[in-house]
Amino acid sequence: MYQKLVLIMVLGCGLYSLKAQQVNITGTVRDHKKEPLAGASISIRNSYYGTTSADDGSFAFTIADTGRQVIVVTMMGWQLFEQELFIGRDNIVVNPSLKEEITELKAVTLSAGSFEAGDKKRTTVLKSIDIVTTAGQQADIVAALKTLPGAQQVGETEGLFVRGGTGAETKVFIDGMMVANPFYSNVPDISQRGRFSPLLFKGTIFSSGGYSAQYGQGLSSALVLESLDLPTRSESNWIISSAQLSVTGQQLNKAKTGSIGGGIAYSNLAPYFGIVKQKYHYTKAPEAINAEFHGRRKTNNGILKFYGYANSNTIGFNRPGLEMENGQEQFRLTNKNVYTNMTYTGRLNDKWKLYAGASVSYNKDNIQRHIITKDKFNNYFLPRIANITGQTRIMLTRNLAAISKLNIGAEWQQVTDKINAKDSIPFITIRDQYIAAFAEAEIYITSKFAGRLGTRAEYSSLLNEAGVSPRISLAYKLTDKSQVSAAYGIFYQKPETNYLFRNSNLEFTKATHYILNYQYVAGGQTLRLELFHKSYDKLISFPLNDPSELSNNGTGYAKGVEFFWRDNKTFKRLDYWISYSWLDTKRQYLDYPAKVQPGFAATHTASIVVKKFVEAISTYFSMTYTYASGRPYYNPNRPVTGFMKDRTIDFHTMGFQFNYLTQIGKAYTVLIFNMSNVLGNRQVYTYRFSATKNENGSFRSEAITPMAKRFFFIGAYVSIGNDRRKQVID
Amino acid sequence: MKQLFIIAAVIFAGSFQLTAQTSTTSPGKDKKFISAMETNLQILDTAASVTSFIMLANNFGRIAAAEKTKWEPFYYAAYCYAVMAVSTPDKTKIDMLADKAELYLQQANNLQKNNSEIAALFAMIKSSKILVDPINRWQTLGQEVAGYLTAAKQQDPNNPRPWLIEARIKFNTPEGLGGGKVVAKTLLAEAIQRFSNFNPQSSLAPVWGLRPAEKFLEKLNASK
Repeated sequence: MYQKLVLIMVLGCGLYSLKAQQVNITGTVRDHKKEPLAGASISIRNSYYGTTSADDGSFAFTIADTGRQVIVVTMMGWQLFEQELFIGRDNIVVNPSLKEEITELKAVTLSAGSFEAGDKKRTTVLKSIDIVTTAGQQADIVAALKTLPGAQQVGETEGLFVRGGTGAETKVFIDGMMVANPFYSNVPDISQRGRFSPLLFKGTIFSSGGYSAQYGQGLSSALVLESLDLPTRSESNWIISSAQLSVTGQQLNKAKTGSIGGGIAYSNLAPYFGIVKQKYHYTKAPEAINAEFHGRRKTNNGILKFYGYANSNTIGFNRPGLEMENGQEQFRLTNKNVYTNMTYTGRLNDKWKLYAGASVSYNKDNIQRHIITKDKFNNYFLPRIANITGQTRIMLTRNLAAISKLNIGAEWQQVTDKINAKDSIPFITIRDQYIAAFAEAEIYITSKFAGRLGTRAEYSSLLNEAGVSPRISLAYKLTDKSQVSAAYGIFYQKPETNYLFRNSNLEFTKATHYILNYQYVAGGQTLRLELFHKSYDKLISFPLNDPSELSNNGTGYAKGVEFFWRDNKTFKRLDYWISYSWLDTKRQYLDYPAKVQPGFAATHTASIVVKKFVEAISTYFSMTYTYASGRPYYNPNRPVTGFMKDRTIDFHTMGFQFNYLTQIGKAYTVLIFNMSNVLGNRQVYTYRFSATKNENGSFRSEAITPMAKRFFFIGAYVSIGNDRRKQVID
Repeated sequence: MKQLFIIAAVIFAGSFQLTAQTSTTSPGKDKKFISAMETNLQILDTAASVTSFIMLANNFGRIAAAEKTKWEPFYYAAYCYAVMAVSTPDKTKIDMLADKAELYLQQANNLQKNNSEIAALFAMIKSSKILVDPINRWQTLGQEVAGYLTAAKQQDPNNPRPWLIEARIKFNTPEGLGGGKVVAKTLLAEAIQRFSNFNPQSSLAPVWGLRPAEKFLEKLNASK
């Protein structure tokens, strides 16, 4: 049909050319494989002359202008083709050959070790909304990421435990800046939440290994959060829940070039604990007051962002003291935290982009720990710990051909840590100047083959040591839907502060990652398979009975296989994902007498998440089921040869959540109900033991479990001044 | 076959017109521009197939590239891609088409600020992107769409197109969330009433939408 059409057109032009001096330009548009391309636009620059290629790629048109001209061929998804022509009296044949345009939409992704959550790219594994709507712990970034392969189900300590790594081996970054204290301060055997609301971020990259040279100081993992740009309109949001009251507002200026916003949140679990009995007796149910401020300003070429956060919180409880029959342990923590972050990202010119950032944070923990025995003997430990981190970071990005780019950057951190404890620890202050520089090229050789090659150099004045870490990631597209990817990298991390307080004459701890990844993405279905090997060197270790003799003699390894499948296509309006991780890890570090599987690592971990939107009742249902095989623990009643040979019972939990979307007056409202451990499974994270033997010659113990069998959350999220609810299902 | 002939004839006329013009430096530049645009707008009026929209997008794109200072060819090139974006059955193609449409429309917007037609088309393009992944995109894009629609209505309260676009969006939104047939019908009535009073400011000003609006209303009435 089309050919006929072209024929008519050609004939028409031909007839007309009898009248004026005209030249026919004909040819066929093809791709690099010589396949014809239909629908390409062929034109003569700065003129109306031109046409569109037919189904067989052929085209024909006439031109009445003589002399030097440029023929331009454009087509969506293909690179521009230009060729100079000299138009004389003779007809001209041009056969343009178009090269494929490399765009982020089509190109292979460097997926080894990396999970992206965002709304832009096709290959993202999680969407921003998943972080808020995944059943489990309410709206905690980390809780949603724990349903991905590689993450452990550690319930007694906060943080992301990734591939045989500890929680401290995952570093959190906001807009490129490291966050010194991303979680509420540690409380013995009760996991704490992340500090930042997932609603602040537009994108999340969770790397379970092999991450970019732009980031450092995490042996296992990097969690990279990208804050929102300008809001689309002014609004105020209210959260009223069983745990929290919060009011936030943001104001967008008329020109839509700037916004300011802020909010205050107060949370107190006392009313909730009054209804749902907790395992420990809370002398102070967790209470926090939280203030936030943000400002964003769009400039001609970029965006300036500021974020500030201040928080004060207290928690206190009594629990059984294991050193004596009917003993008691009292714990109380008061924490103050300030975090500020200012970044600018913008274009300098066509080739260069600038990123600059500065951040200051402050954290203070005031801990009171008393161990009270029958005869009222009070064994106390009252540490005050403070951290001040200041950092600046600069990065220049040079755009190379298509989407290839080169990043060069440097960062500087000044870290001050202080501790003192009445009657036990004198004032100790340690200061570190940490300097790092990195260069990394992300090269797309074709749409099918890409590589990221980088190096990071790091120096710590406290350790007086420098490290150079190469990072390599390669990806190759097998078909339109599938690709393979591999990554290698060396990662350094300063020993944790509590060891540096004791001895700052230590070295960087070190991990080396090898990752192999296969990914299949097609219309609503994603499959990922990943193999990894990680070796640990220079981990902190000390002899069994002498924590003052710190050294870097610890070693370890982790290897495993991970599986991820997400599908929102098979069942209508139902979205589910399944992840499974098999982990083999052993390490000899701290006071471990042998190389064993550490207490925070489970061999098998699996999660199933199911989400369904029921249109008729405007409700979003979500269910999460998680399994982890029993974790090792050391029972000191056994000989040392039995170190970490015991296993806890397998861990099962099923969480349920629903979000009901409605409108109350002009306010867009989401009612949220969330419940953990619906089935009421008995859950044991690990065991703790007394330090000394009791009268029977054995060590007393207590199972570390959740504070209540189930956790409930009910709340309402109310948004006034906008009506974004309307476009839910367009 | 008859239809094909008509299309062929129209295209024939179009290509004739295009090729018959001489270079842009001639004194009758504006006249040539207007006649080339009018010819393509005639084709656009009856265009139905993807092939014809690609061809039209290319034609408008060529005029836009040659003229550089006229917003209309950029607008219509964007419109062609927007139509393809909302009507393609292949969801994976929507983003690419919508991006291309946005690119053209941004250029139109740079030349012609605060134009109701441009704001309305932005709303249409953004709403097509929501189709790719409604549950995850509504939150951000939905707000943008609403913003553009409000702007389009403010900039020209008589423009029927933002109402038509909104009617389509509401039709696809569940009733419980403020959408549904009844809401869509009300908006459509607003649109049709505006269509009957609408006087385009020039021969190149957008006029599209009346027939689709009427058909849409028929469909809504038929399904009760």
